[in-house]
Amino acid sequence: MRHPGEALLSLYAGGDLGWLERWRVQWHLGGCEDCRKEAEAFRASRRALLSGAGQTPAEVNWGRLAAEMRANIQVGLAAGQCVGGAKASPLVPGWRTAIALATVVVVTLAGVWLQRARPPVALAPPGEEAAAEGVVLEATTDGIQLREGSGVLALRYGDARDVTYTVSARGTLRARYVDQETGQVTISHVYAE
Amino acid sequence: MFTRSKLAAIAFGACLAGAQEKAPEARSLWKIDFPKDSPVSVVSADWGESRTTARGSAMVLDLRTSLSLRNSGLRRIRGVTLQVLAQEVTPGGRASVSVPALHVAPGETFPVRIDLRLLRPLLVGGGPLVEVSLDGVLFDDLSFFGPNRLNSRRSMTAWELEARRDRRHFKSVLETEGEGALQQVMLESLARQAQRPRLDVQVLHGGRATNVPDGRPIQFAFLQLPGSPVEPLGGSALVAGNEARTPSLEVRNRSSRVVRYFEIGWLIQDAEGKEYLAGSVPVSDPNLRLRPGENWRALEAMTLRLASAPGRPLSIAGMTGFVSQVEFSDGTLWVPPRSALKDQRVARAVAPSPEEQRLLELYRKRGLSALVEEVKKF
Repeated sequence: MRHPGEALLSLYAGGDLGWLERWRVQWHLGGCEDCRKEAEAFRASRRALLSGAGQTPAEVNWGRLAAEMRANIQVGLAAGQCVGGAKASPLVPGWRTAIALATVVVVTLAGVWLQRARPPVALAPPGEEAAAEGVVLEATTDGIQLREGSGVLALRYGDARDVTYTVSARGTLRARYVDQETGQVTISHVYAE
Repeated sequence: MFTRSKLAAIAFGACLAGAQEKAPEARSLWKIDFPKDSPVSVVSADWGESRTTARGSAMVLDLRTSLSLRNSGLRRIRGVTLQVLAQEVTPGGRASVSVPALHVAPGETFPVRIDLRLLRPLLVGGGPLVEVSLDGVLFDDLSFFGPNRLNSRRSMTAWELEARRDRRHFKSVLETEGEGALQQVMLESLARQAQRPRLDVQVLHGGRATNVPDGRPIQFAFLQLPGSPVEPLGGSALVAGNEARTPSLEVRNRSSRVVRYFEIGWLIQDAEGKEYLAGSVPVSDPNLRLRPGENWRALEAMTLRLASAPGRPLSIAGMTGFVSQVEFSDGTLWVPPRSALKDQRVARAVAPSPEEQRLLELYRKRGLSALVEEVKKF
């Protein structure tokens, strides 16, 4: 059986495949649990990102950014006059201005993108408020994890069978399984206390 | 113009390079710290499949290692627990990996695999993200080495007592009834595992439940296991839909010894009458000294959220408890006898001990003769 690559699964999870490719991936997922889990992981990541995307960070000061852009453009123009001398034709400064403006815009947008608020990496069902929940311990498709705000610490057991979860009221979640590589009974814990 | 364009391109490239966090070497993300006098030493660590992936403004780190550890002490090792800390990712959060049911002679090596996934913001300070340390080692004489920060001594001792109980049982079946009977016992256990209903769990600790505002109290019913030093008297939890909150329990010490810790196994029934092992309510109050004949009431602030499968909340209709472990003030432990598994409800819901699970795996992979040989060893 040939598995679709990560790129295809990612595009499938985002609904970005053409109908033929989508049908082929869907058909494969129907019979392959590993790929189905992978696609679901991509889908969960996408949901988490979407929940935090589109929000302009409060700390972005558009007035200041605009002023910086104007200043950068003026610096670029001034530098161009120094280097180019007086021979430049009337059309060239406009072209140069456009290039300089485009460069500044791209650099500024890249800066804004880098500094924007980080979206919560919520693996919980949509609508749940991680902050209100405090520390959450949960079983996932391939492991157990501790989730607190945007941080996640997960212990995974891959394709182990007969996994047993045990919850302790003191704030512990345990998964017991036979490790498929070592053949040993292994017990993973995550602790909230 | 050429110079300015070049400068702009360099500046932009530098910005983008900053945006893509460098994929650090897996080795630099880990710190393995064992005590100098540890009876277990690290022979090697394979970091083969570790990788980092950017997902938007978060970074996913898949850290996989297979540690090769050596028993550098003089006694046989029965179990080991490693603590895993990732303080930058989840402050206060801890994890651990235990390997029970070991039989490692002095000088022998054994593997421990740790497969971690961390999700963290891109821009977090440097230094090792994950610290792996030894929490404890249990030897065949039930002695223990290690800081025991995670109470692994108690857990590993209980697993070892269960292992001895189950090995005795299998050996007795083999000696008195023969290989065919042992095979039948294994097949029945495998069938129970296959039929045991799967349960997805979520524990909310220190926060509040968000799905439902209210709950109705449901009383625990109790299974009385033979020989239990602690008798459950009553208990309840607030239940709303698939959430059970703040379980409370009252017990009496009916033994002649002081009890300092006990656990109540917690079975949940759904609306269709199907029963699941949801977990346990351990009572580990550091001040607990339950004298013979005394009662103790415990209340735990937690919320347990259950699903019979991902996305399918389980409607809680009833709860049953049974004493699953007791620790006395001298450090000795009581675990339910093998005869307790004759109760079909317990047998159906409760997972086999780690040792039984190991033997089942051996039987499944290598057959009856390998199992018989293994059972005869101890």
